[in-house]
Amino acid sequence: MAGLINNWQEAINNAKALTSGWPQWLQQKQAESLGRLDGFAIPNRKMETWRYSDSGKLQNTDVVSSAELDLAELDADLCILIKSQGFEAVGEMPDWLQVTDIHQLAEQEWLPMVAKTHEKEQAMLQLNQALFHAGVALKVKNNEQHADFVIAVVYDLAENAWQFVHNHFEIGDNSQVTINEIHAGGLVNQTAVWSLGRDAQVKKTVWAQFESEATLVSFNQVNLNQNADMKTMNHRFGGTLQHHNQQVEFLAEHAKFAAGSVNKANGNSHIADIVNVFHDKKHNTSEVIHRSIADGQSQIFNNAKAVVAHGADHSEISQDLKNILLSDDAKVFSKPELEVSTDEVVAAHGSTIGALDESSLFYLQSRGIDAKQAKDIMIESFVAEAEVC
Amino acid sequence: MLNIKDIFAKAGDKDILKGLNLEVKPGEVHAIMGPNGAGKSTLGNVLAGMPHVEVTAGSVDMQGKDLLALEPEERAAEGVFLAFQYPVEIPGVNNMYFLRTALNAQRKYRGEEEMDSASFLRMVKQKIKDMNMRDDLLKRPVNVGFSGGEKKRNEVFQMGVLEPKLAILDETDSGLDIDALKIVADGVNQLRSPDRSFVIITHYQRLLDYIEPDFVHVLADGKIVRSGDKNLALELEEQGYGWLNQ
Ligand SMILES: Nc1ncnc2c1ncn2[C@@H]1O[C@H](COP(=O)(O)OP(=O)(O)OP(=O)(O)O)[C@@H](O)[C@H]1O
Ligand SMILES: [Mg+2]
Repeated sequence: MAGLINNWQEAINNAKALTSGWPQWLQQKQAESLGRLDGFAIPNRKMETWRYSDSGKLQNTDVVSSAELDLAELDADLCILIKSQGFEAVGEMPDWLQVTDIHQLAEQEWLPMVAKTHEKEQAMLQLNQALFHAGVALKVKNNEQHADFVIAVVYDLAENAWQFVHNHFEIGDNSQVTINEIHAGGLVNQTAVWSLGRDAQVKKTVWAQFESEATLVSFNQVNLNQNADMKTMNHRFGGTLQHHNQQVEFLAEHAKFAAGSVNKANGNSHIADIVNVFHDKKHNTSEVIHRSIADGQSQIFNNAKAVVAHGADHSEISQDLKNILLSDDAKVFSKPELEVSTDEVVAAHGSTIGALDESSLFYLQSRGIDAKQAKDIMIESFVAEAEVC
Repeated sequence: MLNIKDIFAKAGDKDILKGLNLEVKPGEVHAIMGPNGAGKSTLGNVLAGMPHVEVTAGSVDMQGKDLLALEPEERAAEGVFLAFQYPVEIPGVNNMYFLRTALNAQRKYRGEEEMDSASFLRMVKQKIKDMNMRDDLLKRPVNVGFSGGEKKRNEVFQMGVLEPKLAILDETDSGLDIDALKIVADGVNQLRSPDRSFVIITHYQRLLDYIEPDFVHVLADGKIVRSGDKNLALELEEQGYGWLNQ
């Protein structure tokens, strides 16, 4: 890790400057995380979670420019712009919602983030815990059902250095909300804890679509209470490196988690999409659907893993990973995994990698649709299968 | 309309068409019969522009244009329509959306105005009724979960919507029940006109009771080996293809 720390000294200095006024307990936690970094190796191809991503790209800190964002286009009732320091809220702030800077969280509300698999490979998560200098704590009160109210969380960060963001989303019992996250580019290491109370429902859509060089590493921890329902839809395109990790834990019973991803990579983009679901309790359902398309010399890694603990009967698990290769040089690695330590489980998993179906393309063309449009139609119908919300 | 001269074609390593000639004039209906594996579908695929079939010699002229030089979608817009022997299923692509996209792409190619969705819907509703097809098939993905007969009817329905100049029907009658056979034949007969031609590939004389051909050809080992009028079909029905080997 020493090498990484040397390379990241600038990031450490930046972060320290931005967090000097933060509460003592939080600075203390960050210092402890920094201390623990020594126990972590720099991400490399020997690691399961980095085998199919070129971690060397993490060292590439060239200045990158992100696309201009038009907030009106986001169609949100409230936009929360996360800056390198602090945040800005644009739009209506309803009384059932509370948004503060992350460092305003009370110590007893703090939820540590720990990877439950491949822990020693999580240097980027550890780095985030040590260095985050921005982010929000967003709380929805109990019994507030506002599924139609769209909150957009926009990462409006400096572009020329690594940015570390940590968010805390807490959705009260029996509440409903829709949250969209929009990544604009840059060099971003983003983590978040999502806590859903009893009967809470969240629809979350994440947009990470980059027309140019951009690096995004994320780790999202999802905690679901009794009967909670979380739907997450990820739309990813391009960038230098995207490395996404979702970790889901069922804290009680009868909760549902669904994650859909559309990963489109071209050029030299590397996208890793890792979803780990821990079925520690009975009667919970998880569904993971990935649709990925790799063109050019890009690489995509899809990994859905479900771990079902002893006694977590009546768990329902579905993992559906499908991939299309559009060029000879593109690579896709697709891995559904089930670790089941109990008897009563309903599990379905599948993974396919192939080219666009030639006979379907010819069929469309033979009716007058040109090759380009025929391909687009087939790709659109392919990715539509992943729409979980 | 169509002039096929001395066509040689292969797929993979296999030589399939071996010097095939056929002339189809506007308004004519030609039936093509012949044993399994003779090259009938390959002929249809050559005309529609299937990528895996390679034409090694010969020419195909359609109304003054070199058909073989055109992309499949350009051939479609020029008026070529192939009703496939095995229509493919395309999951996720809605039948209506697909057809409207196809029709408008053809219109655009020809410099015609695109059809708006209301007029398209009206037109399609009428045609689906004519074909005696359930209109929920329109909302389903292309051919997905269609029965064998429904797939064949869907091909003829598409032909009715796209109104081609040259329609090639590849065993569209196979797998149809008696009522469906009549419906399909009606669909073809309704489209028959002095400026529209048909090439009908079939194994059964029965279809030709409903669609009266001007010519019947026997395609064997990659060539047209015999041509005649509709009586040839009756003869073949009785004799089979054993005479080919004598
Ligand atoms: N891609 C291919 N590669 C190799 N051989 C092929 C290919 N396509 C077709 N063939 C062969 O070419 C021959 C002609 O095929 P075709 O489908 O044109 O026959 P057909 O006359 O339509 O037969 P049927 O009456 O059974 O439909 C067959 O022997 C077939 O196996
Ligand atoms: Mg055939």
